[in-house]
Amino acid sequence: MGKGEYLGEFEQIVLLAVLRLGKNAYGVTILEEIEQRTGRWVMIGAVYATLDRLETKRYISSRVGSPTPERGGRAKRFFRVTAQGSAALERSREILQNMWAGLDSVLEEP
Amino acid sequence: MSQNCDWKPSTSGKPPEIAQRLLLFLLPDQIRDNVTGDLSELYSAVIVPSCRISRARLWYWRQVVCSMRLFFTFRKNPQTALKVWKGRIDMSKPMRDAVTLHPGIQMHHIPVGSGVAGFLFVFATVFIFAVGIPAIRGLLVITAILGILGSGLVLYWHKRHALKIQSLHLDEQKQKR
Repeated sequence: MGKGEYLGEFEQIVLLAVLRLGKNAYGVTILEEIEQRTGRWVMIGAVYATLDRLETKRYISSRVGSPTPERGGRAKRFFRVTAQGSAALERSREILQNMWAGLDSVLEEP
Repeated sequence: MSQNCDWKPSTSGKPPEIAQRLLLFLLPDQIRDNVTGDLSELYSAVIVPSCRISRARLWYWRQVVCSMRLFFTFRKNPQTALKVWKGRIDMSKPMRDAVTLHPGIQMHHIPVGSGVAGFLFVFATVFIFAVGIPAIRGLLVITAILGILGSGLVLYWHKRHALKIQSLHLDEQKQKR
């Protein structure tokens, strides 16, 4: 696994949020999902920068929805995780599980 | 959204105009509508009903400031960055990479026509942002007033001093005659 293929912590969080939200994954819902699940308040700029990076890596794809009046006539951009994105998440989980394996006893020590 | 704000309903669901304009100016075309739309939706539906208006405005400004980096980091592809930049400034000279001109400035993905254009853009962005903050605006007005008063004072003293010297010279000339 090359350095560029490894997912960073925030990339994993954003990808998982998109995966959880399914068809309703766009900026606002992603932000809310991250805040609810992690307790972290994130900036929309950081989320979009990460989403762009993930799209460049082809881990997610996006489509533009129709404009809505409550958003001042501006359109939503919906995201979804691709097969490559799911595979990258699975790899990241395996790596972390391998690293965590056998450390429970070490962490329990005072 | 769990913001640490005092609960006070507000009727103004419109984001700060200067901040919104700055955002529209700075964001790349591809995501301009999406980011501003998301922020407007969050502002009117979530932040304003749960915050004081001043807090809500501060929240919006923070989001805008943090979104500024999107302009500098969006897309590593130089062609896309070029399209973004071309929308802002008419480029007549061949493109050169900003890294070679300004190694210290975080503009690695933005090709610019000259160092001066890049500097002016950054300076203008900071100025527009600063003018939007009431405290800095007040400071700018005070600085301008002090500057005008100070220069007026200097000019007055200089004139008075110059007139004195002139009159002394005239007296000397008269005595010689």
